[in-house]
Amino acid sequence: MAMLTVRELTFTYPQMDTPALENISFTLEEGEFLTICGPTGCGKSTLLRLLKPQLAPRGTQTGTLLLDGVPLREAASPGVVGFVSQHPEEQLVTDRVWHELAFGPENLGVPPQEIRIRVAEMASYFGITDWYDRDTASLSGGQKQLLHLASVMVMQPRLLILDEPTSQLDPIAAGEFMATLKRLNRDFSLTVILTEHRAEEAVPAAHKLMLLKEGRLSAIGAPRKVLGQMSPAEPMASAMPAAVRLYHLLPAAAPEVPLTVAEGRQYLREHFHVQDAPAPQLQSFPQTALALEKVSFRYDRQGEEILRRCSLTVGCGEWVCLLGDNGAGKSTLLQAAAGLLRIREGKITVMGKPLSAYHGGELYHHCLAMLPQNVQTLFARNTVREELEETAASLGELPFDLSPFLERHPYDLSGGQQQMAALAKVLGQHPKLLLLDEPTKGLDAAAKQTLGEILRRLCAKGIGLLMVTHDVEFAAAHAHRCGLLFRGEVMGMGHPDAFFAGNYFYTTPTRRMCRGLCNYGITPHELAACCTPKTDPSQRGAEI
Amino acid sequence: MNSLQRLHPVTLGVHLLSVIAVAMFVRQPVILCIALAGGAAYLAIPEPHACGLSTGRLLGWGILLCVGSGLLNPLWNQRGDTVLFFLNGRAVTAEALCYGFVAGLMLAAVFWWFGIFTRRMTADRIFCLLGSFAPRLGLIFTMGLRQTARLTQIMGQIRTARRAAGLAREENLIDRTRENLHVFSATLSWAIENGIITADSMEARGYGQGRRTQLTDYGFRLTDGLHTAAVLLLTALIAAAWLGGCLSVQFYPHWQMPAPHALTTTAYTAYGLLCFYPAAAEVREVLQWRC
Repeated sequence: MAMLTVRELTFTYPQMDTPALENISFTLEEGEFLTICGPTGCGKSTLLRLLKPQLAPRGTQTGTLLLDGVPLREAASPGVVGFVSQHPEEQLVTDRVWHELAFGPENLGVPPQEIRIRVAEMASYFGITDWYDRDTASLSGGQKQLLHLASVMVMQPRLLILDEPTSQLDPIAAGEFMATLKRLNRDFSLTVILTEHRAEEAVPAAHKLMLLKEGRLSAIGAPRKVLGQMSPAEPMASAMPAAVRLYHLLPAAAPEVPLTVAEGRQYLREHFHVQDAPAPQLQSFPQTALALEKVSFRYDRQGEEILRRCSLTVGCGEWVCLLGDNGAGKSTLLQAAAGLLRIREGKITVMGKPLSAYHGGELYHHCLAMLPQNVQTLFARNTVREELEETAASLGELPFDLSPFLERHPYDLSGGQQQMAALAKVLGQHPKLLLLDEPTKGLDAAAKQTLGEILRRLCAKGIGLLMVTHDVEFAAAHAHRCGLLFRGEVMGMGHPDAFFAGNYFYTTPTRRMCRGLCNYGITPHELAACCTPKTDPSQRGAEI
Repeated sequence: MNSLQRLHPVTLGVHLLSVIAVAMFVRQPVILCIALAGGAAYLAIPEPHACGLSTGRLLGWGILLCVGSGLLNPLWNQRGDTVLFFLNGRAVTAEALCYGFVAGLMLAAVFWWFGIFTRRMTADRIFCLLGSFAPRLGLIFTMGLRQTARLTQIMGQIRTARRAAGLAREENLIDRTRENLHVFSATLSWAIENGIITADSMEARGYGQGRRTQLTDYGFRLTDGLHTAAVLLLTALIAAAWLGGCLSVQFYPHWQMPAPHALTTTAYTAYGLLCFYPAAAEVREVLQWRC
């Protein structure tokens, strides 16, 4: 008997005409890893919440949900199904790490002696022993998410459900989290259901891949089978791993779809000739919007230097991307450029004038604006219309259409829509320089595409963009120039093709597939354009 | 003999609160001097990174309270037999000065012992104390600490975001007040919306199922039990002496203290033990670590 059986599940939210989920049926054996992919609004989160009775939304539900043959609602205790959501900060309840670990068993009235041993073993497994006594506020995002996972695992669940757990994390933390998840699945035969936009790691790790579209199950099966049958024209195809996208762009030379970078690389070497591409041309932008000259910064006199003699220029109409891990000083650099920090060494000029020459709030009117990492911090009104009125943003001037959500509360919008509303609000000041702090955090592929197009349109209007991000693929697809920020220093500024072609780690998965095979090629489209199929069977495997 | 830091929070609480309660209710000069001496002895042992006020400030403010109270009392109070001199047409009596000083001693003693309480009763220990009696209250305490830190952080982010987006007007006081109100309102909205995520996380892990238990970092040992019992016994002795009238002092119209009684000396010894125990235990520990 399968561990989880879902039969003809249909769910409609109250006061809605169309069902959120229609006729979903699937089974899951113990120890299977299921990844669910689908565009925003397809019902992924609804499905996950219905599988966790304590969080199930209210509405009309038909169909059966069985766990080990017993209806899910009658499952023994809340600890049997574990749930991890995508907000590492808000999920944490207590102020100390060990309190958080003990929270679950405490709720169930487990005797303290037993809680002690369970918490001890889970802390050891997760490697949390070093930070056992620390305040939860002092942990990084990745540590917080791991802590929440550990606190769910302390309750010894049989089924673990994760709703986009790595969307708010940087790539390194996301990789660690996924590795821990795979380890849990492998070591304990833990059944895992995961939805993720970061398909690069989530899809190859899965035993089963499920595709949802508009509340209906469009495909379920082993990842290779599902992706092999997927048509390249489907919108979800652009959200799949780079190797899969490449497979779809090239004429099919093998029945098995490559999923990982290693498999993609092997696929290329066996079946295709890869030519070199011409060297990329760096566009020049005569007018300078922002110039940082040898800027150094530390928070107090005895403190550590966060920025070390940083130099950077952004032209009007130019899109500059800075990559770097946590602690490199990215947010500090943006805040310094925005005039929010007192710079004692070095010079910053915005639109030709040094920062000290701007008085009162004139820097932020018709000159510079910053879109923060947490866009919800910009919302202070009840409807989007009122938000835009606060900055006198005129809807006609915006390069995108906000009319569908004008009367809605900003917090009711999806991540991508909130991003656009915040951007509209910020553009109301008619800035000539826009600073963006991780704008693609938590967005799905379609929303990233829309955002990229909008920002390109802004650049075409002459607005300079300085973007700080972890998202290598987004930077590769859209930026005019890219650089790496490491320990407060900017290095390697250049055309994205040249920048990513040279890097080993800070580069796109596509580049990692074709490294050594050709000189450029950082997106699947670029690489596909350089490939020609090998027709002669004897040529396969002849190249190094 | 365990120093204050090695005691279970319940024992620590009982011990310190007994000392403070006796000092507050039994306003007798000898008792108060014992309290002051014991407190000063404990505070005199150097502690580089103490929470709350530093030792110098604690001692300084205590002395100030004592002297100030003594000098100010005659201004309100003209009762008493022995008139020392006249100030602005009001009599300054020796009895009023005495009462003032004794009240000042009480203020200083309570102030110093509360200083010791602040140093020893850290958030962890308060959590353990609450958790032993009311686990839900302990949870509210720890959640409060977390949410305060988080909301302060968010409020800062909202302020910076509004400024960098050109929404903040900070020219004059009215604009700044309005901006603060906007920031507060935005923080509140954020807190309400994101509180749902925290609530979901709690429910998902079984909150609200029934009686909670509490994992504590401190185990209640036999020595803690004996210590608590001893403290309660000594406090009972002092209470008996107080209720029996051995510890009462009459200030007006003239100074009068009851005749010494066996119970009085017992009460003094008991209180001496209570007050000097922390200092003695600390010194013993310092000596143990020296050799």
